[in-house]
Amino acid sequence: MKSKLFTVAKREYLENIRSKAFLISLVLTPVIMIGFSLLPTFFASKSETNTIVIGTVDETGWLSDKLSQRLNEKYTLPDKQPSYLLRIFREEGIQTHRKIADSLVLNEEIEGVFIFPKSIENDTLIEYRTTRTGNIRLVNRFESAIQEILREERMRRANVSDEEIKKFSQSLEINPTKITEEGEEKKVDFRTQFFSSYIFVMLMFMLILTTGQMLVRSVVEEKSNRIVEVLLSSCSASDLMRGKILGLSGLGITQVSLWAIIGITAVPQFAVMMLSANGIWLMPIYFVLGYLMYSAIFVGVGSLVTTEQEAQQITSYISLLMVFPIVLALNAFENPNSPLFQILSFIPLMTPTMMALRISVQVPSTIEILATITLLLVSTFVLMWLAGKVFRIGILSTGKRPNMKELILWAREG
Amino acid sequence: MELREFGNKEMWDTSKMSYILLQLSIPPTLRFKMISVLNLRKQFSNVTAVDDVSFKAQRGKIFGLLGPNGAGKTTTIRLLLNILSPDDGQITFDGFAFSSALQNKIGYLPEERGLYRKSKLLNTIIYFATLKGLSESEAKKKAKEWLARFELLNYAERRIQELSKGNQQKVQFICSLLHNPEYVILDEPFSGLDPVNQLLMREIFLEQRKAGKVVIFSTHIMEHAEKLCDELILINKGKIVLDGTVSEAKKRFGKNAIYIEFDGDGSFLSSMNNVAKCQLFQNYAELELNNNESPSEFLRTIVAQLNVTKFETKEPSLYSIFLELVGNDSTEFIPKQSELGMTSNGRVVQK
Repeated sequence: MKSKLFTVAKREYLENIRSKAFLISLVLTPVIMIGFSLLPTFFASKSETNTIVIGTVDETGWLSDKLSQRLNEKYTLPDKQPSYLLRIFREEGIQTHRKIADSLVLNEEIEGVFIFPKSIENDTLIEYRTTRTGNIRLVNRFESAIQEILREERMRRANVSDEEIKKFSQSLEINPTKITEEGEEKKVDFRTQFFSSYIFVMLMFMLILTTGQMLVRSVVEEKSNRIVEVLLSSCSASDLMRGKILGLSGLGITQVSLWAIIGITAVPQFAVMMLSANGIWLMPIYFVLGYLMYSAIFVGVGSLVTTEQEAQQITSYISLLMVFPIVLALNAFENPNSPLFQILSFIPLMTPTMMALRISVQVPSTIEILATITLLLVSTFVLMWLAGKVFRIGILSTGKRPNMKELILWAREG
Repeated sequence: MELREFGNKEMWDTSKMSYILLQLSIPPTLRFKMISVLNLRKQFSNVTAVDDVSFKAQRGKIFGLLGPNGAGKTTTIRLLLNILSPDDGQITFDGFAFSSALQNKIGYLPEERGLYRKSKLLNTIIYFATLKGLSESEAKKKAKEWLARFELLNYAERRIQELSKGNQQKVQFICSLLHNPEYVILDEPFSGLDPVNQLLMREIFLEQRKAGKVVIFSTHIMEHAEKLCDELILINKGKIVLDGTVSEAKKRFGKNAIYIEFDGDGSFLSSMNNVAKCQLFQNYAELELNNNESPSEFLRTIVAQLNVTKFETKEPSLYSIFLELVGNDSTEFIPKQSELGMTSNGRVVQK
């Protein structure tokens, strides 16, 4: 009766590939993903199109001019206009000027105002008054510029020659070079690392989410329409379940392959970059196992609930668990082998994503890889088996959701 | 055609004395040619849905499974289909226990519509047929034949949700019969059908019977059972309360029953002293007289007050047997006019 499994799989594949939902997710998902990665940079550069006017209330008489000069050297807009323009209040009497400047800030004529008191030449604290304290980039740029100017000025007053001043204020650049066991030297591009694992995790997430939802929807539809009775009078529950997973996995793989083809033709160099990432061959193993494990969970859950809304709720919580490691991505890049990440790698629901993140930075020890794969394999099998039991009974029951005790009973009976 | 080995393991696993006795009680020519159910029991957490149910549905006969809603009809059917497994008892098909190979020989019509709403008609039928082991081309050919017979060929490429309820029911019918099953099991097949299509279904029922198949159907509408069944069981709260042929059932409950049609207000009938039971409708009534009452004497008393247009002494209808056995508390037994297919705008008054 093997063929019935394939009959089910074939129908699930064909019916869904023709559906509008599939087409929409096929087109919309890459659009959203590209949007997510491009929009922040787009907006970040967009804010750089206008000259920002900053006020300075200056008792020193010289600091503002030097600052203005240095800012012009360092920061210009694409159209060669200066990024920052200083409006200087030079006369004595900080208090009155501060009031005038404040009102200008409040009227949004200037972005903010720096206060340089006479004491600044020996002090370390500068006041910046603004309505928008969130503009960290501006503050950082001014901070370093003012710091450099003050440092140089202090050295000059200590009779250090201009040449020596230049020598002292040289900045340093670190050039990281990665050593691998093959003795190869590779320049590490942080973006390669980040993107290869990030894209892997996102792809897996999208695949599991879309096919997972299709799985749940298909189970819930058959359950609520009583189609399932007709089906079960024709084939076994396990054929039905495995057929569904097989058919919809095929669909998911079709989807991901189409994306991959589009991606490779659009930016071939990117594909090369991804393929050269560390331990890329391990990714598919975690990918497939993780996918099967989540499919089992979705099928089991789908057979327990009676409405699609209920199903969506539960499945989105489960999916969140899977992407949780993304939150830790930056930390994982810093220190992929910290005990916390090692422990998280052994929680089966997080293993695929956690390992994907770690592998791209530094391939963990062989023992750890074998252990996580074994654990993942075992838990996938157990979950599949459990899902089969729950599916067999759950798919026929309607009404209230079963509690834990009933579930255990079902697992024993099924 | 069928493999029938007497050494079949599953059959001898069920070798209880009662099983052998049951087989011996059947004429040799008919032995095994049936679905046989013995001491079936199924318990859900707090209710016994099927309680010690035994029956045999023979080939070439139509077997009715009657009972009010919640009596255990659907559970019994699910047990027959092996969708549920029994706590106790056995089910055999022509002598064999259930096996997955048997699934292709069973045709099943569920109580509620079990169709993919967004799928196309033809695709759905072909899918269900291929699940029953037909090749796709064969399924397509037969599907078109059946669609033509049910006058649905123009809808073949439509989505199921665009169809009327009655037409969806027809599609469901096609799905359950297309693969020419040996055992036809239908749960409430007549619900949602207009009288014209009910006739069409009847025709198909009789066709299946003629082809020597086992036909089991469940209903809570007695009129259908009375017209179609060769044999029946009536279950209530999981237990069999009546079994046999329709005429046997009637004989057993043969009482002093009278059927009258009249013009005028018949409400006094229910309060007469010599009337034991009364099912009163707008312009007809089914009465049961006290044992020693003579029907002709009774007629003489009522013509004084009513214009009697028809008077008949008769066997009780299944419907009244039903009420008697199941009790008057089961309100779902009050048939809707459309379900009864009667012309009167009858209202049931119970004494």
